[in-house]
Amino acid sequence: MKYAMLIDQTKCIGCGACTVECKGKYDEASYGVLRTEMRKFESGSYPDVKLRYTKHACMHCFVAACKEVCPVDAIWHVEGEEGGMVEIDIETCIGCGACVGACPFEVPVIDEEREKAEKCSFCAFRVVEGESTYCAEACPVGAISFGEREDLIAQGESRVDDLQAAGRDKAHLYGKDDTGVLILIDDDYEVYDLVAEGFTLSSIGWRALSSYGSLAVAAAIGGIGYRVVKNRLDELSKEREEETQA
Amino acid sequence: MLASSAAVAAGAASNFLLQGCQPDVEEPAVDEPDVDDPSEEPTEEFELVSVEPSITDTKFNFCGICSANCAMIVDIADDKAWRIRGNPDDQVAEGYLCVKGYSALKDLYDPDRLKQPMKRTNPEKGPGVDPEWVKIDWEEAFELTAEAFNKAIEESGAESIGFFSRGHDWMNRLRDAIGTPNHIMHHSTCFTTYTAIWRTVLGMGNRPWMLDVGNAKYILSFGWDQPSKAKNMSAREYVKAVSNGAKVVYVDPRLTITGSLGGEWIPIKPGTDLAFMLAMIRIIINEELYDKDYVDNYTTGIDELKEAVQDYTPEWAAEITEVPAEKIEEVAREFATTKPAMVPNHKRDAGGPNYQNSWRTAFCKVILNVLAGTFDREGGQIHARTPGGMPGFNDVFPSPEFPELATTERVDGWEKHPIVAPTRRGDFSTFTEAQLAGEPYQLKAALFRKHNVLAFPNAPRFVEALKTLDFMAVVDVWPSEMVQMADVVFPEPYYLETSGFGAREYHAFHPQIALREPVIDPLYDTRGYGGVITGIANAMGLGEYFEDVDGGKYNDERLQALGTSWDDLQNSENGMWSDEKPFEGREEWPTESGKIELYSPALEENGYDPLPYWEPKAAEPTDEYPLYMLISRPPMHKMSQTQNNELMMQAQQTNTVMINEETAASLGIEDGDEVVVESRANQITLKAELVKGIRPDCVCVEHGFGHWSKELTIAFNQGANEGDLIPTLTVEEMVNSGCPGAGSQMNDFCVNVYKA
Repeated sequence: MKYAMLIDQTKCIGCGACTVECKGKYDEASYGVLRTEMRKFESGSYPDVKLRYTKHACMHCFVAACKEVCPVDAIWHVEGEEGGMVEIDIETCIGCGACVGACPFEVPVIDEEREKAEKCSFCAFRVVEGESTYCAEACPVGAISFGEREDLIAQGESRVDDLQAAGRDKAHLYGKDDTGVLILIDDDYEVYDLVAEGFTLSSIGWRALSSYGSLAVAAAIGGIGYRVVKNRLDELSKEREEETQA
Repeated sequence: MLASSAAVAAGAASNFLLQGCQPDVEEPAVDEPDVDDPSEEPTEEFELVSVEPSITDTKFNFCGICSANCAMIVDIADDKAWRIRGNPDDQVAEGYLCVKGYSALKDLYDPDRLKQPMKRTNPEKGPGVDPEWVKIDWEEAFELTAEAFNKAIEESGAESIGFFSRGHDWMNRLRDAIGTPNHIMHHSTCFTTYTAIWRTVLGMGNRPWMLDVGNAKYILSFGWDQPSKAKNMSAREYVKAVSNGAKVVYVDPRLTITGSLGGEWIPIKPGTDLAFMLAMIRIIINEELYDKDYVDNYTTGIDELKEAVQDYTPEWAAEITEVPAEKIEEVAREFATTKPAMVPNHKRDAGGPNYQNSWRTAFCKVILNVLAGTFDREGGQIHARTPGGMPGFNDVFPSPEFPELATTERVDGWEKHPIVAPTRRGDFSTFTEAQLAGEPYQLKAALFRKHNVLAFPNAPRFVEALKTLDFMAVVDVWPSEMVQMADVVFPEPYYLETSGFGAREYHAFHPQIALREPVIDPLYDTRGYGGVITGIANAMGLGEYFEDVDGGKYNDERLQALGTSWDDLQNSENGMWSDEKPFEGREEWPTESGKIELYSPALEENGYDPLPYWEPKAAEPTDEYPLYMLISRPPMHKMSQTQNNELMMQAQQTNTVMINEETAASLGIEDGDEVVVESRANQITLKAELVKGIRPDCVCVEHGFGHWSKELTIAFNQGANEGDLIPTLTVEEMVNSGCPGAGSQMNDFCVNVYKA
């Protein structure tokens, strides 16, 4: 089954109900380390200003840079790449931070106390049992929907049609081909700090590579795990080269 | 961003490497991971880990964080509350809670909570002073309080006793048994401007904020901002309306999500909403765009109103409001011709106690809703359908005769406002000045509950007023700032540990009641407010007033009057009692004429203008204080009550000074700079937050931060209290301001802002 989450930004009031419900349930990370949070965006100039909030969390990418760079393969797609759920196996995670640097959406954070990477898990343990995510169940205004991917795409596109009919030309369903999380946006994707759709490892990989550079240095200084890091770094460069050539 | 991410990555890697040297840390999984074969999915290696315990029980309760009281279902796992959900059968919650409600378990299990009665041993009081608590038993706490109260009564009369607390049946009885007129609540900082207008114009003053927003097609907000404050039902209904294509016109000096999600923002000059509305009323009446059936059938005074507004042209209003005349005309016509249209109320908006002229704004809001024909109709402002006919406390437990009031003259002068005086709500603003001046007299001893120091205008000056009391007892859940000033502290349970029931009021289209049952056994040695009051009364020698009083019996008799019972409610399947009769719009109002009185004889008889003439707000910018001050409330917090909640604080940990980016540039202020905000009352220091969506002549600070109680380990020292800046008023100033609701004029002052 392919699942998805639909965040309707045109309904989000920025309250943070999703933030606290998620944090209250996944409470093991240290204070201030959140799996989902609110981001505020202001655009335009006074007095023609637009204020928007969106839920900022893992997008659950089909092409997941975090997974590609993870030196210990702790990151996996629960139901295959297009199954919409990217998970960190917390036992395996070594907290190295490679994923932090690699993510094009600036999502994972390192919980310094536990030395683990933290990000939204899509409540995968609930989803595979047929239940919804905690955030979708909590959202008091219906801005977060969870369900089968096809249904949510249909729902999102119908809403896009309505909004466009009402003159909101930039209404768009973001992530249809790329991510497990779909976002209904009402302006250019840059306004929301998103990346261009149709992304590949090549188009987002520069972040991964830069991150790898510093990680490799750190690993080399420590003298442990260098081989692992180096191997993956070489591999990534090779893939990038091939993609670029193709 | 990239540089810092890389640094985090490198730092984390080094940490790990150091850890790797410790013997008790397992070698990481570097043993031949499948790096050599990236095509191989490692999926099979991992198992999904559940964080969810087995649910052993569910309990019903309703939220005690704000007065909307959303009904809750609490999942229990092995005697520990695990999760709270909204009760789907409740009209208010509709299956959901707000960010604050979802965070409540962190309050319940907050280790900083008060755990037993205490007395202070350090006579010095104030911020930074250790009270030097000593734990005492309940008897000693009651004795100390009774002794102090009786001493004050003997030496200075019953009027020297004050109660700072929301109305509560037990407390009200002790107040009356003592015979003091001084019961002071927070409402003059909250909604008494609306109370005054609704009591006179509509003949009924309670709860003037129930709305059918979800069915509205045109929502004209003058500072009504409940969606951005995450008020559960208002936010949900608003999003529903907007998603269904309703237009929102948000008239406010600052842009919030209410203005941004729904359509159009009109950045009006602060405190001039009245002029905008008067011009609208003139256009709508002159062009006969109003709902004639509604006005003919249900109102009086339209002719007098028409005559009164003739000078208020759009051009006149444009000059005052800085909104173009054409825009005012456009909004007036759209509002009058789009059905259903509403001007929503809540509390501290343009019609709340923000400005000296706010009561007139509240009056115009009633008028506009009437002209739209939506007052108490679908898509309009509604009167809550609450359960009627329940007996009162004195009916169920007849009281021995109360003594005569020691005097009708109150320390805060509340009796001088004839329209709201019967509500006995009292005045936060004037109390401080009266107590410090000793005029007309001083309180000597007082009981406080739930009203925190930070809620009072100019809180540092209020602290000075508290220092003049010989004795204060405080009932609280947390070691708040008020507790830090206390001589004796009574710890009470968190609402999730208590029982009772609550009528639906905030979104009540039919009468409905929610059950509150303890979700877990009490964690600490606490007693409910009724128990504390009874203990004090017994120790004071006033036990006869509480002899047969019994909470369970009270619940039962009240519910029996509705045709149910305390047992039935406790055993109900969904924790609710409902009388689902269909909503029918009111045809009569309890005024003298039985109609909505657009020309109000009740206002006139009490010495106030019977029509909403123009009056400016009190404070305008000067060289010394060149900027308007705005105060807002964030979605993640309830006033100054929730800053010790670990979850809410992770969602928002502090407040800022929001300032227009161009104004900031002209003052040499950059985002994140420490700045001083100074009013004629006080000053605070906070970080600046540069925003686009605020008028260049305004700054805005959110309320709730700046706690100085060190016993609130999470809240302590986060942000600053903007309430420190609000000037207090003397009784004379309040009376002279001419506001029948004695509103505290929370935003009616100007400030200076400069780099710290």
